[in-house]
Amino acid sequence: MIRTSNLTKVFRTEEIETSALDQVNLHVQKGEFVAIMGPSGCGKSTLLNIIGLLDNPSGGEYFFDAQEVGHLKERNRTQLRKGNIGFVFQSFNLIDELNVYENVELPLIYLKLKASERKAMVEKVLERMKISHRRKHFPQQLSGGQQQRVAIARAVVANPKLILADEPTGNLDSKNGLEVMNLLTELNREGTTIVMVTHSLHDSEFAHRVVNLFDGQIITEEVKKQLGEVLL
Amino acid sequence: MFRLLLKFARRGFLKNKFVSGINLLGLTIAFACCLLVCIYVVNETSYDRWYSKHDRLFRVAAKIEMNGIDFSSAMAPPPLAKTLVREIPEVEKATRLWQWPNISVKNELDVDDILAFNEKHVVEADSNFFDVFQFKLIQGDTRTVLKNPRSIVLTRETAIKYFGLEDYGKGLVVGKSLALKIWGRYRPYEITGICESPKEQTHFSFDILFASSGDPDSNTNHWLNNTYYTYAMLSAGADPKLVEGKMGRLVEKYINGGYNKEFVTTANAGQDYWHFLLQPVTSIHLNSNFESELKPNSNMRNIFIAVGIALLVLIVAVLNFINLFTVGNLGRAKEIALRRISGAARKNIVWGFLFESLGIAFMGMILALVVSGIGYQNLEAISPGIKELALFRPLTFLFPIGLVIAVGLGGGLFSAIKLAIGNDISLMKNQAVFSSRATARQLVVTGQFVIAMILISVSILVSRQLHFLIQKDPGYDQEHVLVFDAPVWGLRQNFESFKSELLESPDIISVTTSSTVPGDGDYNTPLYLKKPGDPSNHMVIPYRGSYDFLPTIGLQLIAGRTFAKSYDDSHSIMLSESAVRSLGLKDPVGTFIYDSEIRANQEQLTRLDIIGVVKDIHFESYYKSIRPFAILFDQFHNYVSVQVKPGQIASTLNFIKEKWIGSYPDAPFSYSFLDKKFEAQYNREASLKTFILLFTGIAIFIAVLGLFAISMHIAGQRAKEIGIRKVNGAKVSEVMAMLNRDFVKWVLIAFVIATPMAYYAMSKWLENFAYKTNLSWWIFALAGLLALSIALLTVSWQSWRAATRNPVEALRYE
Repeated sequence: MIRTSNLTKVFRTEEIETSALDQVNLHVQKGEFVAIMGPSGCGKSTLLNIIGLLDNPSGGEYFFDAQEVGHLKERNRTQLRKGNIGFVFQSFNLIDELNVYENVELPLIYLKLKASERKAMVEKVLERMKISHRRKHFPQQLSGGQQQRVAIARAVVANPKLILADEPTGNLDSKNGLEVMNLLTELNREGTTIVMVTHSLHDSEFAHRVVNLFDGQIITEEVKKQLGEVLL
Repeated sequence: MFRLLLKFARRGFLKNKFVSGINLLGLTIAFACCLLVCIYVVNETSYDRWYSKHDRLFRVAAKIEMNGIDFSSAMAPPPLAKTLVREIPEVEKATRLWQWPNISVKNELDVDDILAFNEKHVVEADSNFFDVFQFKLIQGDTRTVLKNPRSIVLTRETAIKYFGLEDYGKGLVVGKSLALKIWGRYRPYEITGICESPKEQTHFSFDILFASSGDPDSNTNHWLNNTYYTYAMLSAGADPKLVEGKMGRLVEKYINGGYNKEFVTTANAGQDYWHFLLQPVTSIHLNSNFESELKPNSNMRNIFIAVGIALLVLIVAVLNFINLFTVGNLGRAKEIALRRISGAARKNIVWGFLFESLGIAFMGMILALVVSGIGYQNLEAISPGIKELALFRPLTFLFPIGLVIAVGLGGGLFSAIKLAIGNDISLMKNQAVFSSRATARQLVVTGQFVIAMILISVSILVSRQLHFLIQKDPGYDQEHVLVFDAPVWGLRQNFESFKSELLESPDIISVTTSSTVPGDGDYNTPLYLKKPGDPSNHMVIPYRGSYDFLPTIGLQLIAGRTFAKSYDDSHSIMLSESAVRSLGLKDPVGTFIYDSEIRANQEQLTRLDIIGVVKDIHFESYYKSIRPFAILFDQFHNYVSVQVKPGQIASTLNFIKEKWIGSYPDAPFSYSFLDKKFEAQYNREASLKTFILLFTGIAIFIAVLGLFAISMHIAGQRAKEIGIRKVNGAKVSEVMAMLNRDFVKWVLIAFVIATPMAYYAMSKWLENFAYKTNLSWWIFALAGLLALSIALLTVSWQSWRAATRNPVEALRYE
């Protein structure tokens, strides 16, 4: 599903040139759950952003579903992202001015679905995430765990093929963190490919495979489980 | 403490250089506008206030209505001045002025270097002129300078113009003579005094004062023609209303008899009235708009418009100030919280902010003082005399200080209170003090757009009305007609040969003489016409013209004939359509009418044969409806007009000049064009238009500055939201639409508020015109559209930047 070849990313400011990714070759199969680990500043998030089509690489190639997408224009990236990729962030990134329902509905609006369709899909995912009763609440009125459930609901509401999670449990206590990991595992089990950046060894145990990044390069990969093996 | 406050204020200013800079720029511009308008108002209201007894000095004007037509005049009958002093005890002194039309003047009598000019400002004055108007006499005795016939007083500039600085400096001018071409030939007049030129802030001006005793017409006992500007000095404590009442008796005594009419002496609809009115001299400049004012006056309306517009610009800037000052201080919530936790009282915080906002206002004022100090002399065209205005007076000090305090405190207070009363913890977290969709900010932007839209629609309307006034076909050929400055009665001798020489040129179509031309005044001696067998008088405006008057000016004959050499037209008259209507005539051509004149208290009727009827045209400005007029035959009146073939003006001018010098070697050759003379009537509207356009531009500019900063701020505040939306599939266009939508909403609300306000203001303004452009719906639509486009352009720049930013940047550091 995802294949990168010699992927590089260089950040330039007026004085400094920083190489965030250096010749990264990553392959993620459909249905796989991959965890990317490494110390701060090793390029994990940069890699995730490129995989998520939020950013273009400086060099190399990136194939998404066998299509070279590394050099797409902003407009085409947005088009491809819509409905195909869902994001979960450490800091949840909910819009404060929108309530739970509206936050979850957001991707469907940009997919230009009809209101009735949207309603059905949002209701379904809210039920599934067990936050239906909070649909009228605003993010500030929710606990961290609840906020992250809303964020996951938003990420999956359009049934994307791929979910990208950037330290999804980083701001949560262990109970809520476990809950989030269980949700992600469940989604993976249902066929959604997941790429997750994490610091947590505990969380990485949930993945099929762990990719270790250091100074922008993949240094090791360890397979935890085979694809198709029932997780946990 | 003060130094500390100063230090914090300086840092606060520098912390948000961009926002502070925009704030300062907006305030500077608005303050400069206010200062300029203040100077303008001071100048316009300072007219005629410099005579020592200006509060007791009045001009006597005549409000007259006859057969429903307004014949009011700034002038009064010649015998009125003496009668006032004789019969009304409250009138201490009275004096009269009359302005001669252009007079050719030369200095050949006393010098070798002959200089000749057409003098436009020769004013005939009674001998007690200097007793009433305290112009400073540099040389001569105020009691005697204007006593003898043939004596004149020059202003210093005029004396130097004719005799040179040296003679003037040595005091040699008094006693010399100038030759004035009056009644057809040059006559010597002795210079008996030299006085200071009248200040611009006087409702009349003169270069030469001419003793009225030298004009036989000044002594007539003729009550029916209003020919003298008459001034009355009341005794201390006298009530002008009482004096006006007593003047009503003069109407009954001297005027009713003369007209065979019973004029009522108060304005009363449907009745003929004649009312002598006392106009305080200090109010003439702004409140008097009669035909034949001595100088074009301004009016209170212009003052109100100027002040109103300056206030609107100030409001736009203050709203900006409040908004930007608040926005600029948003990031300081944490600082405030820390200060408070460290022991600062709310009072200290509030004062800190106020000090800062006062500082910005103060800086703005300093810059504005510099700008307006450089710029105010350019207002001379709108407000003559402003260049020489003494600026160092209490108002010019208090006004800027007051503005700084009002704007500084007003602008800072909102921000200060919001931040000072906030909860410390939420301040620490920078929460909830100002939400990203603050209603106050919406109100401010909406308010600014209300003002911008009002100003835009007013600009469109004023431009359209001016265009309408100048372009509307006035019924005659405006172009290619040249009018000499020298009056015909001064050219009498060689006129016939001069005229036939001109007509030899194939490029000259016609030459005519007339008492007036369109765009020029002097309609104060109406004609009293009587139908045979009808005792009532009908007033009409008389124009006097010679052969070719109709085709040269472009008047259309609709019945009968015009003046022709094959007839004796000395007792012929042509009537305008409206005169025919007003007299109630049917098929008048071929019939006759009487001209009624009172001589020695006896009515004398002169039979006039009606030879033609002409189409109504606008001799007067579009402020006035068309009044009935008649054309009488007169070969030697004021103006010589020459109609030249289109496209031949430049080449023909030389030919005309050549012939002029041949016929009048000692008279200056100067002329103007009829269309320019006509347009000059609308100079006031033209300046008003320039003024409004300029201030509209300024208001929009300030609003755009503010909107730009606000949209930048909002885009910054919503960066995270934009990032999230983009991650979830929003396209650039969708993000831009989202950001712009709010502004569009505010502009639409502003449109709904502004339209009725603008409509009301504009229909009020249009009421001043007898002929006016339509107040079409599209003016408002266009104003709304313009405002919307301006808002969208301004906001879209920021929206575009926000929407195309990489969402990762906004989300990374959360």
